[in-house]
Amino acid sequence: MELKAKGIMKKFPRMRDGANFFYALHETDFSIDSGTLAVITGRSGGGKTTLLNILGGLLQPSSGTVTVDGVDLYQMDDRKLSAFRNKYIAVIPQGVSAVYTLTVLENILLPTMMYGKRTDENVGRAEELLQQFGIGDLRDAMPSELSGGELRRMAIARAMMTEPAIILADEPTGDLDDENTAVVLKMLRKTADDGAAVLVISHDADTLSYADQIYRMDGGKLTSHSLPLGKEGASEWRRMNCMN
Amino acid sequence: MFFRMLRGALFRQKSKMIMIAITIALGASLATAMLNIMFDVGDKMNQELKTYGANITVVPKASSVLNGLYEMDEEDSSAYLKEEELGKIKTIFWAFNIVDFSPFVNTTATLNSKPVKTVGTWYNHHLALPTGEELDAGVTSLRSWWDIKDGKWIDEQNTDSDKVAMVGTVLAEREGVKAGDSITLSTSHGTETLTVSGIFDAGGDEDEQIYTTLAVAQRLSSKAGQLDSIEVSALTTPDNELAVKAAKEGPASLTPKEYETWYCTAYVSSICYQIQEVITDSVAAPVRQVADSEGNIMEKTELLMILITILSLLGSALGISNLVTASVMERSNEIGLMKAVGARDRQVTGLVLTEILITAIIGGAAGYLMGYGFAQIIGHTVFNSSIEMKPMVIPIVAVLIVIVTLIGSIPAIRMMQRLRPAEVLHGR
Repeated sequence: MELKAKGIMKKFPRMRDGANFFYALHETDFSIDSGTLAVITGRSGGGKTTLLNILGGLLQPSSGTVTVDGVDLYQMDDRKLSAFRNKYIAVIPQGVSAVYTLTVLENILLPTMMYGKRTDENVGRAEELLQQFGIGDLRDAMPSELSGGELRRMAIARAMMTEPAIILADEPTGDLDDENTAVVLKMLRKTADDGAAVLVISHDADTLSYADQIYRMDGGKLTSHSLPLGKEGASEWRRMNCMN
Repeated sequence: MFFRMLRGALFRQKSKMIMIAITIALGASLATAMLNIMFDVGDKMNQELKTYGANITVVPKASSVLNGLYEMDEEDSSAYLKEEELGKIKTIFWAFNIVDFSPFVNTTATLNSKPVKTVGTWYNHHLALPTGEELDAGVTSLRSWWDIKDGKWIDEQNTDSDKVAMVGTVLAEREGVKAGDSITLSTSHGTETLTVSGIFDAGGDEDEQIYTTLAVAQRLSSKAGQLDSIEVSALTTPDNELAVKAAKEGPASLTPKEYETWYCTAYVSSICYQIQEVITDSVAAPVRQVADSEGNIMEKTELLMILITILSLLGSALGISNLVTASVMERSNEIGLMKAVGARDRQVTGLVLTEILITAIIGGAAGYLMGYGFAQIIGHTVFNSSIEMKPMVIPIVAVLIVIVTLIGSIPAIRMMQRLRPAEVLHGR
């Protein structure tokens, strides 16, 4: 599946009468295809999360279109867009995201439960993901009992639960140690290799070595374009962009 | 999972849900109490107002005309009502609204060589009607405010002889009569020796009169089977324009449709009209003061109850609105996440509304029980009797609670629907 953004722009009014605007995202084109892992880096406040939310169908752009295989996300009504998102797009939000009244297993099952029933097959896949992310023994724990890193891994597992065609991850390794960062990045890479389009927003230089495409975003502008990298290329990128 | 989320939300936000339940319970309790009182107040008010006497008097047509023209006393008239027709009063269209009635025969007898007004009437006269209904009618309930100073009311059902009397307190004091004494009353038609059952204080002209049984008064006045008047106590509907028109211009002035409406409504004028239909040559007239007071007091009391109910429910709606909005704000991150993974607005709204409605049902049930208590307290304080809980109040209160809860939840629902996952998940 191809996720394609054409001429998207997002501005927020600074005053109530809308006479003055803050441009979170200047007019931008972007696309990502199946089997690709793209990374967007850049300083905080550069518009990366705004772009990700627009691409994920969560934030209507002020102008431009976002299409998935030619289907315009923002031409759909709430019912259709919700179902489409549930089926094809998984968003891993920045920070903590959990339903605190459900167990870890139920949180992971959440996307499948929105439009279906709890099946043994789904539970089996959720348990498999729990094991892969190293939180298998927390299956029946409540989110309030988990550390920040564990919550993050749970959120990533939830995103992968429906095997979506598009995964949009906002700082997925933000709260993780090196070991878990590697686990998560390998999982995202594998997901891309299995045919998904994966977009990762990250400050973490380790993500670069897993990327097929790398972008940099500052001041609401996507200034750098795709750049195939190996391990050496990543080091060079890191050096050039003063990343740790 | 829906029920698990529901249960989790209810228990995790226990204190907030308890606050919502209490808010609803308070509104429901007042609504329950007021509605029960409102539906029962008609009977209660009527019972209260009945203690002030009958609201309809029936006199012979000729007597009524003569009295109107010459301000004559009833006993001076030669026109009478027929005793045999008394039972027909309970056969009119509004028979069930006739709660009590009593016939009267007036005469002047001599007691210790002094003239004394003597009234014959019923006390607790047992009537077995052709309809199968049984009724105890008479002045024991029609004159319930009489204070029995000595002895007791005449008990027609447990007295073998009809030769009993009750003497007004002023007359009894003047003549040295007390309960248990025998008195002899004489007229040109005969002499009757009666046992005094009780001495009463009516606070009016009756205190200088003697009340005896209908049969004795008829014998003393030679009016066998005849009556001077009938007093009727009836439950009536407050008059409106139609009733006023019928009373002023007569039923003949009404159109057939108006006539049907008027006849089939318990206006005092239509009940009077129906009594006249069954009692030969009679004129039934409302005791305006009593009838009007009943209508006015009933209307005002009901209006007050409705106002209190509306205000209490409005207060509940405002409270619910604040609490539900706060609850949604607190859970905006979770709601945003659910939307992000594909939950529709309707699903999220359904979840939150179900939580609130479950809380409302619990609060409403508690409120109903509290309202029952409030109603009984008010009943005993104001009417000296318990308030009958009307089953119809339960569905009314349930519907009101659902409406109030939904109205109170509108701001929170609008907020939820406007909530953008991108903003809340990013921590804005």
